[in-house]
Amino acid sequence: MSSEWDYFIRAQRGDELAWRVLIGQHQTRLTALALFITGSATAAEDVVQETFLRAISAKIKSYTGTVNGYLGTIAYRLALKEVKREKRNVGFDGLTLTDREYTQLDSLLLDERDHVVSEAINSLDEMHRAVLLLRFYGGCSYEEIAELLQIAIGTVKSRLFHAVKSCREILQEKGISR
Amino acid sequence: MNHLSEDQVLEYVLEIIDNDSERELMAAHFRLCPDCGAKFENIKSDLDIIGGVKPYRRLMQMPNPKARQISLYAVIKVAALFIFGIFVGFATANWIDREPAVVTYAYLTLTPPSGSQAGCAVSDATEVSPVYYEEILKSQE
Repeated sequence: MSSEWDYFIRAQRGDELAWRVLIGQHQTRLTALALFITGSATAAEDVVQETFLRAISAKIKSYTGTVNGYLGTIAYRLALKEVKREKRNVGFDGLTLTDREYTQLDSLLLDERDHVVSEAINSLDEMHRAVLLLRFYGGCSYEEIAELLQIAIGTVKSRLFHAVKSCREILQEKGISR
Repeated sequence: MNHLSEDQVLEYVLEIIDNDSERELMAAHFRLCPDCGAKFENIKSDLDIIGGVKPYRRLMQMPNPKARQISLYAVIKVAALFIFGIFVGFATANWIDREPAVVTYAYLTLTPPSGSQAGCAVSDATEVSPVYYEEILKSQE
């Protein structure tokens, strides 16, 4: 079992310091993941809070994966559930944002560069965006993404490659990338 | 090793190329070739940007795991005590002494049968306490 799981287990047992380390390490990226999927700050906050609540009370059978991937998977599923619950204009993969939601997401990004990145990510289609978000913000491994999306690992890698390439092109157009 | 294309470098950075020996060769090439090394650094930088969106977030009040565990523990304890109490109640209901059965006059012989030794014959099936025996005698007076 790795040291990151040590922190996690100690947090589950009530160690406040370990708990704060866990939150510090994962809250921001999970918030970004939930925001990209739900497009709503309130919903994202709920998703992240519920993610941590479920994580600390879960009885984990195996510590083979990463804490990143474990939390990312929970957050992703909760975010999709939230989207379905709110009956937004999304497909099952859950990542098509309406203009209204996009504006709200945009308003929460403080950095101008982040605006460009979110524009690039939102320009992707659902399949490619899901893989990119799970890899970069969910912290999931290729195997975890494949299992979550029920696709082959090769397909995951291929989609991620094209998603990143597409985002890089937009960043270069906007002068963010060299 | 020849120069690597952007796509090849991207595959390396994304760990799509997962063959260890191939990765070692590429890593060594990045160290030796300035052009490919620059491509590698640029792509790494882009990935940091793509994966580095930091939305503004309110400082959330996360549940204190210790408090949550304590309160859950308390609820479980109270529930267990309640259920235990019910079981104890049912189990001990039979331990309470019943009121002794009062032997009716028909079963209690106060006068000795003729031709036999004097004595009180009491039904074997029922034991009569002395208190109730006295009361029966008084009621018959």
